[in-house]
Amino acid sequence: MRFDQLRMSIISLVVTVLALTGCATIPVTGPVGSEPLPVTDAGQVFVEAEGPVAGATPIEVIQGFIRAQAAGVSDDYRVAKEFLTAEGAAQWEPNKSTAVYLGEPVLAVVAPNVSGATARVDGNRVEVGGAIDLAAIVDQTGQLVEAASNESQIVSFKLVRDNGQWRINELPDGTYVSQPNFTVTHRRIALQFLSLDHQYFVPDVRWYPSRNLAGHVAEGLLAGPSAWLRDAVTTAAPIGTTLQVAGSVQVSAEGVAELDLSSAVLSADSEQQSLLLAQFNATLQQVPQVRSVRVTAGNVDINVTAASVLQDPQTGAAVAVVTDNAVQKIVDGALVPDQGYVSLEGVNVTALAMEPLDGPQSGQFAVVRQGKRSIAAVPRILRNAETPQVLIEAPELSAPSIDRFGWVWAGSVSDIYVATGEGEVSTLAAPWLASRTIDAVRVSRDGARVAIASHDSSSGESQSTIDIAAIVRDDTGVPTQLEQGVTVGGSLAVAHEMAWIGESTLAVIGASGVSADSNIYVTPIGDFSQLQPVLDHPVMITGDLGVRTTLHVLQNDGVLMTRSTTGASWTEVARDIAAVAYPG
Amino acid sequence: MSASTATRSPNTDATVFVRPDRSTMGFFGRLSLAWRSSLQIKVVFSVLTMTIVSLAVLSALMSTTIRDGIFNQRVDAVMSESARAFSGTQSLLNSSTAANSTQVQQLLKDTIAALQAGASGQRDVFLWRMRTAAPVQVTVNDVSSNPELGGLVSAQLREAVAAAPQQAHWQSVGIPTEGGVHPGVVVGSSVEVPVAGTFELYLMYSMETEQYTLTFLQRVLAVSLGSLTIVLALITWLVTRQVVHPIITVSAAAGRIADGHLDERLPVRGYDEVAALESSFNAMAASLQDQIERLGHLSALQRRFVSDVSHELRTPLTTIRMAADVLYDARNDLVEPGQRSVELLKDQIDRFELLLTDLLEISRFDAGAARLDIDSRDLTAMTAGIIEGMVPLAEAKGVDITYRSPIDRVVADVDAIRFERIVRNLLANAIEHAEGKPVHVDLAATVDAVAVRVRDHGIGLNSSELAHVFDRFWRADPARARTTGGTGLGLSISMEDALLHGGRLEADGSPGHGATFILTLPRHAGVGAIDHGPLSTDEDRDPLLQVMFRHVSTYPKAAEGKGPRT
Repeated sequence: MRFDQLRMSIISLVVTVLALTGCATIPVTGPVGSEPLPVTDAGQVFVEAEGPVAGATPIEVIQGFIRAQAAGVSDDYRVAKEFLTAEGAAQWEPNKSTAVYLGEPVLAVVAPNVSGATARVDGNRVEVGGAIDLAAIVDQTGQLVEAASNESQIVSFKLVRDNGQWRINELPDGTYVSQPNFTVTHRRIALQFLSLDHQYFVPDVRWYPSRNLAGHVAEGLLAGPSAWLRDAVTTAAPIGTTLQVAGSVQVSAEGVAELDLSSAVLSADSEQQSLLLAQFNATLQQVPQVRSVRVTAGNVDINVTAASVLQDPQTGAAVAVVTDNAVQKIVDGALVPDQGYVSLEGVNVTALAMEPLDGPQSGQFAVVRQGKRSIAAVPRILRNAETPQVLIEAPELSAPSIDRFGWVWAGSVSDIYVATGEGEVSTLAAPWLASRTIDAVRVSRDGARVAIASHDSSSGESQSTIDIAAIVRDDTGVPTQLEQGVTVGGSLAVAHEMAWIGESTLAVIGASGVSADSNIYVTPIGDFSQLQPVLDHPVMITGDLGVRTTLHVLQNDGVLMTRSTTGASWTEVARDIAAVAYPG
Repeated sequence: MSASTATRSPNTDATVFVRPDRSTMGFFGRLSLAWRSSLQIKVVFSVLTMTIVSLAVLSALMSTTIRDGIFNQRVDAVMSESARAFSGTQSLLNSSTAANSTQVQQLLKDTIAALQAGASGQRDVFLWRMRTAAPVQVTVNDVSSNPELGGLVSAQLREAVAAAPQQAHWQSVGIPTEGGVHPGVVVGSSVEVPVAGTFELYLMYSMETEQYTLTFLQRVLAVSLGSLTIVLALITWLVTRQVVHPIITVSAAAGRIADGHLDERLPVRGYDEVAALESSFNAMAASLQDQIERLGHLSALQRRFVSDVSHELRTPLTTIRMAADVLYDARNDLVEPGQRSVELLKDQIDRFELLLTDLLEISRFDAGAARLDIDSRDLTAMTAGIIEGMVPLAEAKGVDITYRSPIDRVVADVDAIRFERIVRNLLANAIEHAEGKPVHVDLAATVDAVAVRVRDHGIGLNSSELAHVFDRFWRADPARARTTGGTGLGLSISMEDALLHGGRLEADGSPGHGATFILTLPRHAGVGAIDHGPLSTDEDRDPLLQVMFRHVSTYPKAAEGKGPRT
């Protein structure tokens, strides 16, 4: 019996061992596993710079100097200064401005007179000059202005021999960076300020160096809005608030930006502090590694919940069109008549504008431009009016635009007209538009800025500019003044119509200097214009947040097109459309 | 004779099992003792050592092979991925329409972004103008995804890439991170960039995961081999126990038998070698027991016989003695031959009686019936008294006796009668064999022991005689005149008396130089073995030489009745 027991136990032991060893393989079946997709930041690219090479010609020295300037943002121009003499390095101010250039700087020896860029130069002094094709100019505060398409700048350098090597002795202030290098070393950040009623964020677009981006952004926000926006916006940071350690913002590995402010911030009440925190959140979260913001003042933790301020929201409305003599909406690709408006029979509708949904009449207020001479409000059926009420009458009126306070804006020749639905009309002074003709006026969704496209009618060439002006209002929201701000779309020669499609982005029907055909461009404030897929004869453009799904363009034959969700083409939405508009 | 006693040095007698004293050893001594005294530990230790050595060699081999395998696999993957990247990048650059430095710069920037994103894992990309290529007049910057790691691309790699542009060259590097230095690989080749000329393209891959894998495998290996070793040691321990256990059982049983429990037997189970050992052990024990019992029985019979005979002889001897005494008292009334005969008769009867007494005494020792009657006595005075009692004999032989003793009295627990008998016997022998030369008697004591040395300078003993001197009925020279009347049992009885006290009796001597007898006794009753006695057979080696003997007396006294010199 004992032997049998022994045999059984041996057999079971062998079987167990075999079973265990057989388990050690990679599985071929199994249950479904799930994991959230991580948010991956795009890999960063760095430019590198080298110091001067021995025996370089003057032109090679300048080329090396320009190359070194590209990387200078990250090393404080240490390598770039190796190309300068001590005197040149002492008086050079690199941070004054940055010229973003295209192509290749064309340099040649100016003096002494030697022909050819690569000819050997003897002697101890030489002057080199050339032309640089500009793409944009960035000023000291980081505001970028796009240059015209063939704008160029003349540069001049004076070199001397320093220990047998050519070094730059006199040079213009500021730096020259090629466009790809600029977009690598700098990043576009929209500093978020508050509209006067604290409802909306108003962006102020700047470019800051990628290195220590959070620090620059925080300092920029605390320094306040640009001069032209100053009367139109407010900031929740108390006057005199600075970072405790200048330019230093630590971003932890989990993406928490630690802002250590001076004690001035403690004088703000909790509502102001919560607005400030909202500003910091909205601004700093544009920095790639930052996920959240923590504000401290010395050792005190500012522990408030951020206020909810509207940042460039979608209007939430369907696009409105005028077709078949009536105001209709397009819902899910189908025309749906809006029964609330009177019929527009007999009215020569050339443009439409809808009030934003958070306006005084909750989006019910609609105006149409009749012909080119008057803008009239389309009455609601309940109001017992039969015909549209004329609000503005003026020659060569631009298409109307309604801001969120219920004011209708339109431009005529050199004047900006603003009117309410009750018939109040006034003009705003815009002195820089004195000799220009206004083509389009559009108010931004936050009601603090207006985009004005105008062209110079006096000279032979009609070069358009799009200005962004700040709207100064009084306490009741009545616009009182305009402050001239930045220009956008500098590379466009002609601009006919515009629409706001983002907090700091415009969609423009215009033409660059190359061809006369009108095209659609997306022109962000403080960035470079981008050509969109070609569409024949666009006359009117409107859009909601984003470019893809909501951009509607009306062609001159009444066909309404919209961007397809993928690909580079337009899809037809409707025909026989007289006018199209999103609220705003 | 009693059973064997412990000796001072453990290895003097190779047939005796002695365990050294643990209390005098240090840590390593105890460790070495533990190792030497346990078969199990020896076996387990050797198994452990051999296992560890072989497993270490094995794991080193495995580790190296795995490392090579992992590394080579990854390098192959990296090289094929890099080859794809290089050719893909070159075709991208070839199809580019970049015509000026700005466009080329944008192209380089896009290339870096694409290369970074295109990898199966994280890789760093460096795109640098080739130094050795002809200089081009364009302002195009070198680009990379991590300029700080650029220093890891060694000059040799750059030279190799510049020398053989059509190939991909790779090198192992160490990438510094917060956790230390991680292994990595850099692969480089050259690409032609429009307008800007020849560029070197380097792709840096981290081998961190491979390192983790290798470390993980090594750890698993270490843990499993370690636990294997421990388990093996445990198994060996248990298995050797199975073998050692019967050995311990048998040795315990043998010990009990040696102690006298002749009935001890081992239970026999099974049929294996252990059972064979046990059964043959039992057989041996049974046979030994049988023999010992028989011998014991025989010797008991013998002893009883001697005792009985001695007792039986006593009765007729008493009668003979009485009759002889009567005759002796009336000897003057007898004729000459009769007178002589009667004197002879008395002498011989006296002798016979002595012999019988001695025989009885010996037989009492043999039967184990001898008893000590211990008393605390002054040995100095006792020895003096014994010597004075032997003075007549000494004078008759013309022998001087010198007695040396310590100044203080020597008090010890002894059986007075037996002590006197021994000393008297020794003195008698010494005087007998002194040949007129002086006899020295020394008494000395230590804390534990006392000793009496009787030394003569007469005939002496050779080594074969020394070996038998304490045997029964043994005489060195049987023809020697027996004036004191010895029975031949004197020294045997003295030896037995000394052993009964727990002491010893030693003899030494050389022919022509005399003999020395030392009696060493424990000073206090109940004390066991005494290691060093106060006196030695060689006077020059006396442990307590000149210190003790302050009291010297000579016997016989110098002329007419003066007391001993003090």
